[in-house]
Amino acid sequence: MPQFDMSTAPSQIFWLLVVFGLLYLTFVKVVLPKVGGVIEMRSNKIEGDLARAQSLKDEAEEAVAAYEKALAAARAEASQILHEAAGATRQQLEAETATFEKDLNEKVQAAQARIAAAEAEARSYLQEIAVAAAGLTTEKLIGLVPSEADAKAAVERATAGAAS
Amino acid sequence: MASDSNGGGIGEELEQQVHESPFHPMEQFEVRQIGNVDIFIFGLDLSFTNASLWMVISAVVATGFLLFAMRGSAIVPTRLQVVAEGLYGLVASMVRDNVGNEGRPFFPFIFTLFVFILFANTLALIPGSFAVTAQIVVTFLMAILIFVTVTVIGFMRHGWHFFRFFFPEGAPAWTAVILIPIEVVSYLSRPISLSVRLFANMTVGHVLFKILAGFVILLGVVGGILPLAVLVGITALELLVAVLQAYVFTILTCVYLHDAIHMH
Repeated sequence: MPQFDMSTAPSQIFWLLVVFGLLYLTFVKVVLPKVGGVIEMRSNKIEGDLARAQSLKDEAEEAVAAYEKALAAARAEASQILHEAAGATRQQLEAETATFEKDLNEKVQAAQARIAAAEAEARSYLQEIAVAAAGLTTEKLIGLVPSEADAKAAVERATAGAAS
Repeated sequence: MASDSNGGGIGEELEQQVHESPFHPMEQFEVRQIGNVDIFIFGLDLSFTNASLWMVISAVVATGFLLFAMRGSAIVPTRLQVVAEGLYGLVASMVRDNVGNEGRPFFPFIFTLFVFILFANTLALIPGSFAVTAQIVVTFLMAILIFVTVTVIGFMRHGWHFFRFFFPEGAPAWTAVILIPIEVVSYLSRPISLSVRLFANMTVGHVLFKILAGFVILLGVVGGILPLAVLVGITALELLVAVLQAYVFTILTCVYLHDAIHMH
């Protein structure tokens, strides 16, 4: 086997040491820092991005919490305002209703008084008409003109009898 | 280099000729000088060879691939960037799971080791290329360096207590006679098993390629179809072996490192 020919050993040993040594130096100085640097940069970037995402998420959660708090306050305020407005409206409505009813009652009473007066007046005319009619009827029937007092008395009797 | 046969017997010369024949399955492992610039330092022949060339190509392609894949350095990675980051993540988790946090300083070395072996193994699958990791010298040098380093780390961390490693805690004292030699031998054989595993896997795969390819040529257009089909299948298998052996070599390094740091 040519591999056991040791006459070439010094050359192989020498060149292996030289080449391997130079390769080692090149790797240590150039290649490994480059590869390791990229890997580290990537892991740093990923970590940074994750941290940033976390902080943004926290911020968003804070904003949501603040928004919900504001919303709750606004809702409470709105219901307060609504409550107050409803109360005021009801009071006003009640007051107006009361005034209107009072007014209406007064008007109704006035109208009833007027109706009663008109009725009384009508009744008084009725008696006069009855007295006159009784006088005229008596004259037509028996040719005798009764005195106004007699006629009136007779009408009163008759109406009292009818009324009783 | 190896080709200058200075004397030697006829058998040796014949073997030399056989190895140099382009059809011999072992010819591909021949280490040959490239160009005619001889480099001699302290009397040692350190000339640039095809083995050196493919070490350089593996290193350059590995660096080029990783830098090209990472050129955008994008937060959202491109497809190639996923592959490069995947390699990084694979080795990082391998070190973390097997060695723990103390393995952190060794990560660059283990990553370089894995990527170098991975690219050397896979680039060797290109026809006409040279299998760097099918050389016992290469794999054994890596294994012995790891072994020595790991042992030194063990002694630096635990001092003389590191010898306890060779005797399992809680075992009866008299078993030391048997257990300590076994543990010592098993510890010392680590660099051998580590290097031979990679070397043998790569060598066998490439010999198989060469033999099957030889059959394709011998049997011609019609008869060669079957060995060609087998060759295609074997190539897929060897790709798996190339990746797997790089992984195994690296993970065993992590395991040895773990033993040195944590002692079992």
